Amino acid sequence: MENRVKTHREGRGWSQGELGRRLGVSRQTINAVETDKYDPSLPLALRMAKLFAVPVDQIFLDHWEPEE
Amino acid sequence: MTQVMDASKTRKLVVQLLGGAVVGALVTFFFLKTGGKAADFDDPARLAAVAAGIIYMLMGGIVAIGATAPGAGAKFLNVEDAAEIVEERGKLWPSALVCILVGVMLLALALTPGGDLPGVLSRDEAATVAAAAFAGLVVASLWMRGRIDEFNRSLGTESAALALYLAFLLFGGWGALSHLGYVEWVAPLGVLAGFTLLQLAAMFWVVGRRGLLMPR
Repeated sequence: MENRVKTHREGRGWSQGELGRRLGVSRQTINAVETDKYDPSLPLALRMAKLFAVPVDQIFLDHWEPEE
Repeated sequence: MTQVMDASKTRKLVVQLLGGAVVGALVTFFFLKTGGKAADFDDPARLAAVAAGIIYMLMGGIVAIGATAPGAGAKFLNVEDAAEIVEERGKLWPSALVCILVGVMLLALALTPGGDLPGVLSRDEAATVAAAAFAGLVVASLWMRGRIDEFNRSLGTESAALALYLAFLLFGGWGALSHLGYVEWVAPLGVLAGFTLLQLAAMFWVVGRRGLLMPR
C-alpha cells in the first residue's frame, strides 16, 4: 500500500531506527513499510498516526472507491 | 519498480553469495570426507540430513559471528550498518541458536550406524544429542518469540504456511504414490530433513518475494 511514512519521518528529522524505537518495532520493519514491502498491522498504523499527529489516511493512501 | 544497486551493494551481494557457496562446499566436502568412512552417506536420507544440517549450522554460525562482531557482521549480513546489528542482537542470538540446534539435531541423526558402517555416534548417543538439541530448540524458539516484532512474525507465519503446503504436496503426493506401489516410501530421516529444507525454501521464497534479499 502506498504510504507517506518516509515523508512524515523525515519531516521530524528522525532516522528509521529512531522511528522504530518510538513505535517499538525494528528498523527493518520501518524500512519494509517505507519501501512498500510490508503493510503494517492496524495497531501499528494507528500508533504511527498518533505519533505523527495526523489521520491514518494521510499516511496510508488507499485509492479504492465504493461502487455507486 | 526497477531497483538499481550501487557498486558497494553489488559487491556485498556477490561476497554474500560466493562466500556462502564456498564455505558451504568446503564444509560439506570436509564433513563427507571425514564422516563418510564411518557413516553411510550413500543413503539419500542421510545425505539430505547432512546437507540440511550443514546449511542450518552455517546460517546460524554466520549470524552468531555477525552478532558477536557487528563491524564485520555488517559486511556480510543484510543490514544497513553495524548499529543495526547491535539493535537487533536480542533476536539475532536466539535466531542463530535455533539454526545451530536444528543443524546439530540433523547431523547427530545422520551420523548413526547404517548399512554396514558403524556410524560416528551410537544410536543412544545420537538420541541424547538430538533430544538435547530439540529441547534447546524449543527454549530458544520461545526466547526468540518474545523478541521479534510484527513484521518478523508475519514473515514467519507466511513461510510456515507455505512450508506446510509444500510438505503436503511433496510428502502427501509421495505418500499417495507409495501407497499405490509406484515409489518406495521415504526413510524417516528423509522426512525430517525434507521438512527442515522445505521450511528453509519457504522462508527464502517469502523473504525474496518481498525483495528483502537485496542488499540494503
